[in-house]
Formats: sequence, structure tokens, C-alpha cells
Amino acid sequence: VNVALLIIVAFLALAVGLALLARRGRDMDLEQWTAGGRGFGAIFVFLLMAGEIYSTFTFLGGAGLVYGSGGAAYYILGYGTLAYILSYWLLPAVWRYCTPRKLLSQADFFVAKYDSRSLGVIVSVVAVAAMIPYLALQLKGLGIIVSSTSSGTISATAAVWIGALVLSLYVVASGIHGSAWTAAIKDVLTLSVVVFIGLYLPIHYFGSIGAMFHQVQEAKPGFAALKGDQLSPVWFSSTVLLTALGFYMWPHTFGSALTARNEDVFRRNAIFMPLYQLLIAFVLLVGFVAVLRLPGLGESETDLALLGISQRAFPDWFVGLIGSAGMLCALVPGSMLLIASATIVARNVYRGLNPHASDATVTTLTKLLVPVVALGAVAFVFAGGQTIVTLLLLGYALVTQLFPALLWSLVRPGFVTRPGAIAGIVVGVGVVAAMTFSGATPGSSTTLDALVGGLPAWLADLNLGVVALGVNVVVTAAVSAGTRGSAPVDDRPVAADEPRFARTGEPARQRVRQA
Amino acid sequence: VLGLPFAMFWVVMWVVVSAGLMAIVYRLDTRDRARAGGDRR
Repeated sequence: VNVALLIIVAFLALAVGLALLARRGRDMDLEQWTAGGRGFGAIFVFLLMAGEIYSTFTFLGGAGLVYGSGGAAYYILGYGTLAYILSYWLLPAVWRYCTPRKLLSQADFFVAKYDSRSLGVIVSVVAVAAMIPYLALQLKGLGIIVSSTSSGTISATAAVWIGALVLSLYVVASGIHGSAWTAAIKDVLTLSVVVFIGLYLPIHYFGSIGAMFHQVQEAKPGFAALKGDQLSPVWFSSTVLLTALGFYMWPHTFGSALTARNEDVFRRNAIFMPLYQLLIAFVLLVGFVAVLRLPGLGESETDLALLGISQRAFPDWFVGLIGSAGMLCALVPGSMLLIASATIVARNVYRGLNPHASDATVTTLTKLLVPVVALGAVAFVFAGGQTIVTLLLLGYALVTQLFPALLWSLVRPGFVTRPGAIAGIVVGVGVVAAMTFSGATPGSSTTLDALVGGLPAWLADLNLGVVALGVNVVVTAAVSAGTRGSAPVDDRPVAADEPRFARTGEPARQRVRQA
Repeated sequence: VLGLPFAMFWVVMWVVVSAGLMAIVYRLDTRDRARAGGDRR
């Protein structure tokens, strides 16, 4: 009997059980299902946000990126921290706009702000396109965990299918309440496991962390600094910028911002979230251990580094715990991604095109769409060749294109017009798509020189997404300047007649605003 | 520094410093908290 796999299955059963418990006694209308009835306090919002951020990417991808590219992986520590600082001002502004209007999603926000259903549809399509690779990387992670802990009994292909099935069932059963409870277990488990192996492995193999880095330096000079051929300081900075700005553009991160009870929740969380980020440093340490003690993983196998080194160093039952932490790390963000994509397609694409669809139809459609989206992600996994990090960065390159239109609409309402916002997003995404499909290899697919040869070094290493973002900003501003005055932007105080978003049940939260 | 490569130490240091800075900003941000007052637990 495989002990590691049994432990993982036990944790999975626990997560599903909690999800069903959390659901009991609640009437699951769409607002309950997606935004938890807007009643979560600081701790739950913290767990949800942490839950979706500490995903398989952090767990397996972080160690994998160290294994493949060394010091470039420190970017993971940087961008989250910057994004949290941004969140202190950004999220309360978003919350203040959305809550009295009963907006449920990011696309609702754009529809209301720019008074344009077509923009809502465009934003939704971009968001779903960005989430598919993100979801795919969670499934890929699940596949890696299940197939390596079962020592190959279950093939990676079968494991990805099992993961997609479990994820869909879990989401349909519980909605976001399940995610919050599982997030609590996942955080405790991940925190203890990661801190322990991050300290234990370097000390076990090398005596101390310092001694380990000493040996890394001897074996591969400059590896732990920012000195790769591919991932230079220019790549580092532009990637941190791209991902920090894109951080809250994900529909599911945006969505968990709507679950908060009040806006103070975000400000308080902005203090503690950066500290939580330190957890990743321990994952990176494990990656460096693997560089020395588990050499020879191929370019597309770097994601196996963390589990591979763990299997070498620990007994089966402990590998089971590590695998469980990893499994939960895929399940929680994966479930939020699934909820967000299904909701978006049903509410914002389907209803955007058929405005008279009833609430009941949309709710049913949302649940039906869950397995469909999961299948899309499975297809993406098998299309193959990408590591966890390149999948994530592709998603970020797409989703960050929403940032200029969103920020401008909050900071200077009226500056960006409806055609301006649409043009900017479409062109930005077009540039990303053109770059992605121009035959870039997994190793170079995030830098500009994959697309244009012969550039000076400081240009060549720019992250592709940042280049697209620059084009996007220019187009948005130019088209807006040309069309100003033609389309009003909605920034009125909430009126009683907002029929599209009006809902029975919860009383409207009218807030007194100081002028 | 502290057994870490300098680049890693630098990033980790700024993560901690950022948290500290946000705590200070939160302390000083009385205007926003007064506005949110009615909603707080």
C-alpha cells in the first residue's frame, strides 16, 4: 500500500467533507455562491486571498524556477509585496464602487464604469483566456504530485484527468464557502511543511544555509545572483512590474475583494500579506538544494524538483504530507479559478449577449460550465511543453492588459473613453497573442527577443507582457483623446434604479460619503 | 549576508520593510478609517 498516496486521498476527503458542511443551511443563490454573501471579515478575506495566491505555482513552480534559472526566481518574492502595497489604495476604491451597486465581478465593474455591455464581454473573454493557462498549471501541478507520490503507478495523464474531475465536483458542491474553509487547512499545512523542509533540507545536506549557497556558488558561479543568460535584471524588473500590476486584475482575486465586509479589511491585510510572502523564500531554498542534490532534470521537468528531492530525503508518510499540501495548493486556487471563469462566461458573456436571460438560467448555466472550463484547462495541459512558470506568465501578460482601463476609471473618471478602453485592451491582448504564437520556446517565451532578434540587451530581455502593456497604454490614451465627449462614464452616486444589478434579499448598503 | 546571497537577502529585507511601512501608513491613515467607521465590527 502506498502510504503517501493514502495520506493525500485522506486530505482530499477532508476538504470535500468541509466543503459540503460549509454549504449546509445556506441558500445558494448566485451571490452566495460567488461572493460568499459579502459577509467575510479580515481573517477570511486574508485566507481567501492568501489561498489563491499560494498555489501550485508557489509550491512546485517556485522551486522549479530556481532549479532552471537560479536567482531570477526571487522575482516571486518581489511582485506580491508590491501588489499588496498597491492593494491598500486600489481595493478599497474598487469595493466602494462595487458594493452599493451589487456588482459581482470584474466584468460587471467595467460594464458599469464604461456603461458598455460590449466592453464587459471583451473583458470577460480576456479574463477567461488568461485563467485557462493559470488553471492548467494547477492541474499540471496536481498531476505531478499524484504521479510522483504514487511512484508512477498512476500516470501523469491519468492524474491530470483525476484532478480535473475532483476539482469540478468540489466546486459544484460548495462554491466559495468551501474554498475558505479548505484554505484554512491548506495554509496551516503548507506553512508548517514549507518552513520545515526549507530549513531541514539545507541543514541536513550541507550543515547550514550559508554552506549550501557556498557550494552553489562553487558549482555554478553566479547562479544564485541575477546573472542568467536569459533571465537578466531587465527581465527581473519588467516581470515584477507586469505581475505586480496584474495581480488584482485576475477575476478571482478581484472577486475575493468583493467578499469583504468592509473596506478596512483590505487596509489591515495590506500590512500582513507581505510577511506571508516570506514563505516563498523557504520554497526557493528547497530549489537550491535540488540544484545540488538532484541534478539532471530536463528543461521541461524542473517542476519536479521539490517533490523529487523530498522523496529522496524523507519517509513516505512525510512525502504524503508534502503532497497533500501541494494538492490543497492546487485545489483552493483551482476552485476559485473555476468559479470565476464559469461565473464570467455565464453572467458576462452569455447574459451580455442575451440581456433578458433569467437569473435561474444563468445560475444553472454557471454550474454546467464548470466541467467545460475544466476540460479546456486539461486540453491546455496536454498541449504541453510549458513549465508552470511560463504558463503563469502567459496568463499575467494577458490579464495585466486590463489594468490601464481599470485604474484610469477609478483615478480619473472620464479620462479614458469607452472606445479608448476597448481599443487599448484589444490591441494589448493582440500583441500578447502575436508574440505567444510566433513560435517562442518555453525557455525564452517570456522575453522580447523571442519575437524580435538583434535588439540591445536591455531591450531584448524585457518581459513580453510589459511591451504589450506599453502599447496598450499608448493606444488607450490616443483613442480616448480622439473620442472624448462622445461617451459618458458612469460615476454617479448609486441610484435606486439599477435594474441590472438589483437583487432581493440583502438590503442595499447605502453609504454616506463625505464630499 | 546571513548566509543568503545578497540579491535574495535584499528582496527578503524589502518584503519585511514593506510590511512595516504599510503598518505605519495604516496608523497614519485616520481619515479613511473615520469614513469606514460605520461599517466596522
